[in-house]
Amino acid sequence: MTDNAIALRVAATLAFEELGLLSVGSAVDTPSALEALPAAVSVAFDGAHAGCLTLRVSDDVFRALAENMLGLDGPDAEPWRWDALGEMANVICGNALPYILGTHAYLTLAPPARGAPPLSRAASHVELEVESGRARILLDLPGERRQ
Amino acid sequence: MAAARATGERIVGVGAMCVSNTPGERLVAHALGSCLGVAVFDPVARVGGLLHVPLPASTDDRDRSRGRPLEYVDTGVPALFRDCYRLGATKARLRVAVAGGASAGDATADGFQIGKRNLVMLRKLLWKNGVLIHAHDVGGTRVWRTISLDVATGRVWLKTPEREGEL
Amino acid sequence: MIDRAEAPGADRGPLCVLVVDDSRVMRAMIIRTLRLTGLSLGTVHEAADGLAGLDILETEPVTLALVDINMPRLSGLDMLARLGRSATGPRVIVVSSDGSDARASQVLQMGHGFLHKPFAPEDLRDAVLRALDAPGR
Repeated sequence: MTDNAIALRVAATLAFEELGLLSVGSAVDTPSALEALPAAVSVAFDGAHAGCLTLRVSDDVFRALAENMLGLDGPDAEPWRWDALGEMANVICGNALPYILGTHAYLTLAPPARGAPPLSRAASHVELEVESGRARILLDLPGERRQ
Repeated sequence: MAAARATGERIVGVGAMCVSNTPGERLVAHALGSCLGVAVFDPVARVGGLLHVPLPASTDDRDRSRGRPLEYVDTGVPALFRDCYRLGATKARLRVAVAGGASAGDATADGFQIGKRNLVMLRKLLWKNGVLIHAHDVGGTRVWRTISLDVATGRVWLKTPEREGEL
Repeated sequence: MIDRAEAPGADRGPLCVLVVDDSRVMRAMIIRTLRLTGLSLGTVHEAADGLAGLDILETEPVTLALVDINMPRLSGLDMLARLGRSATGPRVIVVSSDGSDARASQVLQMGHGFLHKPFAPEDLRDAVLRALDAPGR
């Protein structure tokens, strides 16, 4: 696992467990098919470095995040699902980037946006077991050398 | 469910709980590793309870978990609260203290991460039910904690090989 | 456990709270936590960016403000810089996922509290109690 992938795993584990109240298991070697991770949001950032972090999750994780974060039952949580996933991506991004780019780099994070933008070939990624589902985190730093 | 001693100390074993409104009783769970010791106390009703719970989710093994609600956080904690309610406690007044949830070692030695999963399950359960934790000493690696609750005062004490004091 | 369990902040009047965050989920989580703390809450205002936050601060007697950093239109730090510091101003806690030293130092130098996301509800409660107990400015 690359240094960037380790940073993404640490930040995502913290966010899923503390904010999403979902236990994170191991990193998985065999990535899921995209259809198995239907919900995706991305957070673009700018400043000392520019790039984008994308978070993709399986449907059960997508549903559980909003329910857990707001303490609501299924139907009541439904209108919050995209916001909850966006906040997760935002928190993962904010926590991972200081490890990857240095703790003195000023960055401005854009609001989370639905969907996943095209990635450069150098994007770092990690996929994690999140309870019975999966989450994949991808970090694209165009112009940065892959570590 | 809990062994009584002449001193008023009641030992709460693994997968057990004790609820009391008897002043002078002290509820104790020894040597918590990845297990959680969940202590609750209602300062108005003077009702306290202690659960010593080893596993996170009854849904992980439905066959094994049937009839063993106190061995799982997701069923043991609701049972603890319910028994306190029967003695006059109310949810809004119950104060929660937690100890345990340690890791058994490095990732290889602790592949199941039971301690961490116990804590996540407890936090989810309490948050969904609108209850905050008032005091905690959790996590770490190979930490053996003993938690005790004084039913007369509601004071919770924590003891590890390195330190001892009020939680 | 009893000592800390007595209603926190019972000697204060109801708090007038402002939560400024572009994430409505985070605003809802913060407000839910505040309601669970047992603190006496008065009006709770919400704003999705710094400009909307400043509008509320101009007209409402806010005593406690929880402010995100990265927001559209006007960031939390720019909002606080425009607000300035006064003895009668609100107690401020900056709540951000930006874990950089640079950000945290900047916030602390401004005299505000800092809470890092993600946080447990108890961390937010403790940060609020610390901010309310801090000496007046």
